[in-house]
Formats: sequence, C-alpha cells, structure tokens
Amino acid sequence: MGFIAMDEALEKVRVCARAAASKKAAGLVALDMRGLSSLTDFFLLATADSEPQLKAVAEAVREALREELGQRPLAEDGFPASQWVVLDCGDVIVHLFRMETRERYGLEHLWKDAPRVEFPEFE
Amino acid sequence: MQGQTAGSMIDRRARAALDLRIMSESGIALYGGSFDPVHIGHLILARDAVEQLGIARVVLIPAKISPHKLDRPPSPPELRVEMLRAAVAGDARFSVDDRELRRGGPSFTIDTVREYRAEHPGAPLFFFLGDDNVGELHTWKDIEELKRLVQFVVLARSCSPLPVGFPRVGRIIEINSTEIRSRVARGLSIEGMTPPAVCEIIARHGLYRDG
Repeated sequence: MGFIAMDEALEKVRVCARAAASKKAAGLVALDMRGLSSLTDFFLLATADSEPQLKAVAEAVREALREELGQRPLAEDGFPASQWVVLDCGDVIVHLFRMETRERYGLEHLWKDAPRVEFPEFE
Repeated sequence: MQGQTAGSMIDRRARAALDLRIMSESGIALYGGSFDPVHIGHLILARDAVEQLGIARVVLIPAKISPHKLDRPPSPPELRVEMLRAAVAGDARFSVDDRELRRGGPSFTIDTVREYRAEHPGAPLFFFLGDDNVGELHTWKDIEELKRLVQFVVLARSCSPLPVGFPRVGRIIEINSTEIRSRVARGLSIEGMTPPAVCEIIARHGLYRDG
C-alpha cells in the first residue's frame, strides 16, 4: 500500500508540473519531502513572471488536478499580490512564486536535503 | 475521487499530528525572540503549542539584539529578562533562559541548541519560530544541522501562514511589540496587551518612552 501511495504522489506531481509548464511556468522542480516532513510528500515549486501568469498557472494546475485525477486542492493560500500562491493538494503542495519571492523564502535552501525531481521533458 | 481521498489525507495529517504529540510529552520547546517586550501574542501562541503538541516545557530565550540593526536603542537585557520572568511566573511549564544574553558575541540558535542537546540528551527538542521569521530561516547559521537537532514549529499570528514544511500552530492575534512601544511613547495604555506585571515593569523603568 505504501508503494502504491508513493506512485500516486509522484503521478500527481507530474500532472501538476505538466499543467504549470503548459502556462510557461519556469524553474519547475519538486522536492521529495518523504521522511523529512510529515506535512506532505512533495513540494512542487514553479516560478511565474507576472501576476496574471501566476493566476493562469494556478488555474491550469487546478484544472489538471480535476480533469486527470478527479481531485480538488484541500486548501489554497496566498494571493497573487503576495507573489506566492500555495495549492495544498495533500501529498503534493504546489508553490507558485514570483522569482524574488522564491529566492527570498529559500525553500530550496531550507530543504537542501530533499532529493530533487526535475522535469526536462516539460520545459 | 481517484486514489486517495481528501478524507484520507486529512487523516494522515491528523495521525502525523498525533505522532508529534506523543513524541512531545518528554520534549522541551525553545522559544527564541527579542521579546522587547514580551506580550500576549507570544504567550497565547506558546500556550496553544503546549496544549496542541503536549509539550512539557517551554523555555523562552531572549536573543541578543544587535544595536546597529535597530533605529532605537534596545531595552537593557536584564529588563527584557525581568519582563519575561514576570510574564510566565504563574505557569510552571514556562521558564526563561538568559544564556544568549550572557554569551559573548551574537546569538546563534545553533549554539544554544547544541548546548541544550548536550544538557538534555534524551529529550526531543522543539524550536518555536514566529511566522515573520519563516522567510529568513534558510539563512540561519548551520540550518541543516539545526533542522536535524530540533523540530521546528511555526507559531503563526497572522492570517496566512504559508506551509514551508513544519507543523504550525496558529491564531490571529494582532498584537506586536512595535505597537506596544509606540503606544507607550505616545502615552497610551497597553493594558491587556501584555500581563499586568509586565506593564508595571515598563512603567517603573520608563521603558519605551522614546518608542
């Protein structure tokens, strides 16, 4: 059961990453948080250049989650004006940022020990 | 819903919270901050964390304040400690540790945590982090090692504490030290914003008259 659950999380990461890439989100990387945080299995990080793009990427992720996995985010946080939108999809938490915000919060530095999953095929 | 359901994810998080609570019973939480002054925002959230996580002890650790970082002189360290002791006097679960003020040089949390680890070898250690510090956490000295030594818990006083991977305890409390200092400087009452014993210390020593 654990193995199947992990595959589901990874599949969800790919669904979200592909959706984000479809709206030209940049710097797509997932941090594998399994064993590091009880909160979630993966953080998926993506950068948007502008507020409208931030909204468009968030909408694309929501839509992909709904259409491909039949799921909705558990919760959403942040506002475009805050430069950081979080979609809590349970075993995957999607962080969408403007670049300066992404660098300022340094999640990738804070979780340096988390293995990376990259998506060259989507970029 | 394909695969896991929202309900099962909530269950999983509830189980993780319960695991954390079980681990916490012998645990010590370190709560660092300037505490200039300590106020009900600090105290209520610390109490929430104790209740929700089942932590046995919280130690408030005032940090050394670098004068060059402020536009005003920081309060004398011994008065910050006196205010803290007065604030927690009624609760046996809370204590104050002034080691960072006595230590030479700037306050680095890693140094304090290494000391606590050596002094309390068996106890799980927690570190309470304000939501306004979450963003700079990645710049802290030896953060990698720090994350391994303590379980960070975010104490969130604002409405949108963003998930950075640590358990969170949250309640909206719009009280902060800056406002308290400003009110004192303007001759306005701070009653209710910090315990009476702290108000008394502030008045008696003429703290914050300049903000």
